[in-house]
Amino acid sequence: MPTQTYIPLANITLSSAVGNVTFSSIPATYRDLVLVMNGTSSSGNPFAFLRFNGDSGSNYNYAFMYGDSASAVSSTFSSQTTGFIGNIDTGLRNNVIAQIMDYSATDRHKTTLARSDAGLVIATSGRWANTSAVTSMSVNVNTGSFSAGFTFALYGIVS
Amino acid sequence: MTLSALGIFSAAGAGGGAAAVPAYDLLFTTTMPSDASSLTLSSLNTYAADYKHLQIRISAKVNRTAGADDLTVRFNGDSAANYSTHVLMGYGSMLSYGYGGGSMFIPAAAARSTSGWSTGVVMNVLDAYSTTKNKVFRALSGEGGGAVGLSSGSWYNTAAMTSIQFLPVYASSILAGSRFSVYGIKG
Repeated sequence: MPTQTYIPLANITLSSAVGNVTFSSIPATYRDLVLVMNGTSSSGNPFAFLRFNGDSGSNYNYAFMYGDSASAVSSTFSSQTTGFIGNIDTGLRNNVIAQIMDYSATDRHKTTLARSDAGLVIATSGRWANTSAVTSMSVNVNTGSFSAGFTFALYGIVS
Repeated sequence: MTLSALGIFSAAGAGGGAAAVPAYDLLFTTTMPSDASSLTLSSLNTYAADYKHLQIRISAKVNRTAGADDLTVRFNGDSAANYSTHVLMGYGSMLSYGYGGGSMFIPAAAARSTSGWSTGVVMNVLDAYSTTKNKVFRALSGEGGGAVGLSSGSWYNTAAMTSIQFLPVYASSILAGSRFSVYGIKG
């Protein structure tokens, strides 16, 4: 029997610029999360990152590839304190869609797959080296802030 | 400055206005009870009347320690060379692209067996039940922190989808606990 899913959990539109948005009290009801972000940044063409359960340890690993008008690049980072999911070009309308796989599972690390589109086209895969269920998730930029009007939508998907 | 979204509402309280029609449903999930050389999602034709596209979400591991594995994809049990794949993949500083004639595969789709590694695949099969179009999938995949891939595959056949089979390219088995979830998207 099919089960309706892709359930909206939270929807935020920023009324003023902030550098960090946190989703808290995420229920373990679902298997995967999908985060949809849309907006621009205040300055500096920042990168966007995820952090789970407030863990600021060196437990994040990610690979990414991107292409722009000049080049295509790939790179891998390990033992980072946040997980990269894309860039937020200043002055452009950016879209990021991040899939947080198995966020409620307690038998595996958490994989994040993301696509980011604006001045660059980016694909990333990340891993939070922790088997705990994700109960909170923060999205931040490494410089500047998410501008007013930036939207964040979080969905839950059962399995 | 930090903004927190507190009090996430429940599924029962979620949803749009009265006119919203749910369009994305979980059809079934297969979690492998034991290691196996392949995994087949069958009886997909059961859902043809209600759905237009399919999405497969995968979290899999294989019996290989050297790195992530690719997964070969076959539609409707067709093991002949009726496929092609285009791939863009990042692995360390090596950005690669390629075309595979004769087969379909998803790069970096299954994690190595070494403790701690994990992977994810979000795969969409477009117009899965059309009988006039060749079938196409597109996927975003990656072994978290090790590799990331974008892929698209074509099956040169207009038959409606009945099954999807996944086989590891380098390993011999997909490991117990690997999860394959099938979703239907209405259209």
